[in-house]
Amino acid sequence: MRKIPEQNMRLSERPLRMIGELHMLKFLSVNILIAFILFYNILPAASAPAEVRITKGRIKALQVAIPDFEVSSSEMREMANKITGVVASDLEKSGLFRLIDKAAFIQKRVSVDTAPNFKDWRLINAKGVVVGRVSLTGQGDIKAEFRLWDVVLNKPLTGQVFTAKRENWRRIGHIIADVVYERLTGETGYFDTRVVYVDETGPKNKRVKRLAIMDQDGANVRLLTDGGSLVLTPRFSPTRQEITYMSYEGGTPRVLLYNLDNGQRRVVGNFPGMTFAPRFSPDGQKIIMSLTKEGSSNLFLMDLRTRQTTQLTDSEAINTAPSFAPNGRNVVFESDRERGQQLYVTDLSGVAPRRISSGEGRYSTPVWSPRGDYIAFTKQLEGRFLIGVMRPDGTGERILTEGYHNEGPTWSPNGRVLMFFRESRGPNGGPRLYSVDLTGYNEREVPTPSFGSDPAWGPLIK
Amino acid sequence: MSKALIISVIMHGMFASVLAVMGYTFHVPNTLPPGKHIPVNIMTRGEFTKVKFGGENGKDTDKPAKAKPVAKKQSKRKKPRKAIREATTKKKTTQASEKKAVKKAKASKKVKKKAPKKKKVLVEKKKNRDARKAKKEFNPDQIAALLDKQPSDRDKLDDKKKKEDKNRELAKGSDDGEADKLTADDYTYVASRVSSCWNMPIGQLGAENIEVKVHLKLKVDGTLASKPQIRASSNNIVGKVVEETAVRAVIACQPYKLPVSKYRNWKDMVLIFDPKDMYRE
Repeated sequence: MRKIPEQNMRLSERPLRMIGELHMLKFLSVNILIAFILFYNILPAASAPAEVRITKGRIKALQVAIPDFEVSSSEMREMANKITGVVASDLEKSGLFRLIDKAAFIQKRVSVDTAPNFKDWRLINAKGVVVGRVSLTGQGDIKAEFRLWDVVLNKPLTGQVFTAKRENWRRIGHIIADVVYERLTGETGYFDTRVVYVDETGPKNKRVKRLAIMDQDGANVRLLTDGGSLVLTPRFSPTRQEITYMSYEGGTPRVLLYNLDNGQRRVVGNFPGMTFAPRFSPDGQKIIMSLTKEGSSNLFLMDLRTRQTTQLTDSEAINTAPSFAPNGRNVVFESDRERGQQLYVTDLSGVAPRRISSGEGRYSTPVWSPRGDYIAFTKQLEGRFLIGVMRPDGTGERILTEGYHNEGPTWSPNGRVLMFFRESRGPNGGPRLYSVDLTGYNEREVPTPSFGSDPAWGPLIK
Repeated sequence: MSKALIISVIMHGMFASVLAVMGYTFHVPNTLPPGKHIPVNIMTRGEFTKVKFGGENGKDTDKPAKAKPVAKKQSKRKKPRKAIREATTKKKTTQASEKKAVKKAKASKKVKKKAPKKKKVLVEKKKNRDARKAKKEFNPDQIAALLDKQPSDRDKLDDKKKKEDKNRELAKGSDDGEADKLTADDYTYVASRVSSCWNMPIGQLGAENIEVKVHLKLKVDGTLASKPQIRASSNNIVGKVVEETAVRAVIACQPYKLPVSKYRNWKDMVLIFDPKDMYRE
């Protein structure tokens, strides 16, 4: 008898085994269906968690606590307090931190070698705690150790040890503040820096102007010139402790270089006519300035090593106040080549400068931020003097502050804060130094013993 | 033919039997069975009120206005006899009023039908009284409760357990998964809550281009079940700082009060911290 192939049989004729297979197939298909349902309904819920986008935050100062540093001897107590005082002052003046009052501390003493009691600090809403110890070395120097704790994440963020001469205790404070600032904001600090400015004394019509240098917070003021001749527009080298400025010594305005480390002065060069507004290139190897000749001012670039000079602009207008971009390839300057004073950007060939300012008023003293994202300027509008910033392409203009006579902005080395001077009215009025941050909300006066103008912020001290 | 005959016979038979039943019924005289003839006194509204709230001289233990306002309303609507029946069944009437009501009812010699009900009510009343008495009796098992009116630790634990069980039940969510999906309001709640805790030091160069994803695992009560995990870690210091600010915000803002019934959909959550908009001018 011929056997019929199973696949050709009718269902009723097929052997039980095959029907079982069919049931198995059905069973499998049902299972597959269930698996699909699970995959598309339940599994996505488990594997794709809800996503929430947070686009707004709270712009509020971060609360930091600095308990008294430990000391090796009672002699060091005052020194430790002075150092923590500088740290607290620096952080608070930045506008990004708020120091918690010591009276609120639950844990009064914290060792630099052990973790703080996190709960105690969280209770008083601290986010960071700076603990430290000050001791004397065998050579009589100060040894300062510190550690920054994140009391929300319960972990140490950073810590360092410094040794310095006793008289440099302020620098220790500034350096600790810089490290804390950098670790909590992600930006380089700017506290261990100096500012050179023009110190002004005497009556308004007979002012004595001297070159002076101070810490960025107004402390440690030191006069660099005796006031025998007029000095103007001091500018810090971005790489060295060196300044360039204009001096009327001998009756002729000249550009001078002053080495802060050894006190040596030298003339940059003898140019025909008058030289103005010198400024260093980002690498500190060149100086850009304007030279006035036959009623017009043009930009010149001088290589300090070869003493070679290159003319950048050639027009009958007044082109002045040049400032390098941090890339060293572009320059911003002010010019009245079109109607009114406006800001222009050019490359080092000087061909076809591009106007970037477009608002009403007169724009002057442009300064390119060390981080390259903004150009600060002075703007004169309807009798008011404004200090503002704009992007290098001229967009995003923002006014940060205004006053009777604001002028001469200079950037902190991290490009976050501007220092400028503001003239006060009246016969006894005079210029004072002020700082304002990029938000425009944190404006403070920088205390100086006498009137001060034309500040120039130096790099971090190495 | 035969079928029709059969049907006809059946139908006629049925008709005849119906007529016979009707005839018997109509023959029965429509009179009450002989018995005691009881004259019925009709109560006035004033008398009814007295009965309801403790009788003529009875003392009412409950305040009338608060005691049964619904019954009072009903008393206006219902016929007096019915009202008496209801009034006597009220639990809050005093013993004296009950006795008076019973006496009055006996004196008035109500219809025989009502008597067993009355008895029933009285029996119930007695039962209630006994129960109350039994309740008042000293129970050594309740010493702790008598001494300390505060709920015991065990009670608290039981409550907590009950709550947890309830939460667990709710947290399972519905089977269809639609009802427990997070709504726009839920997302907005989380975003605004975390925003209020996100303390971002603005102004850093490049921070506006950093996006930080923080993965949270949450408990039913909205607190963190484990340490938040950063999903896209950044290499530079600004990125690290943004990450830390994000994690601080997530920790500081807990608990997240989201609907427990939707727990399935928020127990795992990814928060994307995007500081771009904070820099807009």
